[in-house]
Amino acid sequence: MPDRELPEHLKAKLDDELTSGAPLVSPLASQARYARAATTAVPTRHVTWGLVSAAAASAALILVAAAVAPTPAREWIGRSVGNLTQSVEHAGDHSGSVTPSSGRSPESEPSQQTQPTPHESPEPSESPESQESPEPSESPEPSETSEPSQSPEPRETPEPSDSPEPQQSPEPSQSPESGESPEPSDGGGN
Amino acid sequence: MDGYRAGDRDDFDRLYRTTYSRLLRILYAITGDATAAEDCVQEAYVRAFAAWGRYRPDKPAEAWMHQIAVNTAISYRRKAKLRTVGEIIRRMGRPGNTPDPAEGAMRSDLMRALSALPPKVAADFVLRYHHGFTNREIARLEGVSERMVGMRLNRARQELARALGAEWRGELPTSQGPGVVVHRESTGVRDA
Repeated sequence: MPDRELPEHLKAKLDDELTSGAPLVSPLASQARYARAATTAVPTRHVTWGLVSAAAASAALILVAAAVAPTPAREWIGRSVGNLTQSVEHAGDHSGSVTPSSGRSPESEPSQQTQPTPHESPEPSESPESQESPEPSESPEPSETSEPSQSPEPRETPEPSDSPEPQQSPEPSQSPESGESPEPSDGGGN
Repeated sequence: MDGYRAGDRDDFDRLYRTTYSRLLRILYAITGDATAAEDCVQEAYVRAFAAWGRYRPDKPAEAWMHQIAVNTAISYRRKAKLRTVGEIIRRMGRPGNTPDPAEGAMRSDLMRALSALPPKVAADFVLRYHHGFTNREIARLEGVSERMVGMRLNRARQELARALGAEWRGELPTSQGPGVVVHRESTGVRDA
């Protein structure tokens, strides 16, 4: 395909149209729009940097909060689950003799119950231990322990300190041993 | 053409000084409006400057800048067409639906015909017949084949001949020399 050429007067007309229509006053590079945009972009960079730093600071705060806050929350959850487990165990232990609803009676009742059975065993508060021990065979305790079991927390702390171990250990150990030892000795002797 | 470093502000200023006038003329031919051409050129430099850090020297910086400018002008023309259509719809049914005579007076027939050409065709025409680029240089600048450049120039001459007269179809060179200078000399001899 041969490349045609324009006549000179058409080229001159083209040059004149383009030159007069778009004057060739080339502005300085410093006056160009990109130069102004570059100078105005500096504050934008500052703003961007500020936003980034603020975001980083907030992210650090969130991380710190996530690292610190969950621990007490988990402990609390663990404690509450432990309490629930204990209460369920208590309820299961006492389900044979006492209804769970009656077991959650006010604290004043245990004090009243401890009065009638001071000599037997004040331990009803420790329902699991008292039931595991041979004492459950003694009928009065379970019937009255229903209410003491209601307040496990106040009871467990004071009473065990008063007489949990001394009473549990002496009663089973003393009564069976005292009863068993004389019998063989008696029987063996007879 | 070479020696531009990506992201260097001084080099970009140099590129601006080197290419501004040529791009302004090309975009004036594409848009047909000197104000729009100036606006598009400045916008093109803003875009180029924003991407200057990512410029890769595997392509000449002037060619890179040329493409950005032409694309900016194409976007402008597309928006201008949408504005024109919207304006026609808005004026529909009202008196004074004829085009503004002042606008017609400001724009010559040649500039109106040039701006009616496809943008890349008008750009090639200005590069070839105003700036004196050869087809090969245009092809290298735009990253297309010489054949494509020749087809575009032929189309431009055909369209201008249809709008302005048969003489815009051009004349075949007497010799097959590829250089622009050879053609000018032959034409000058003939005219003399």
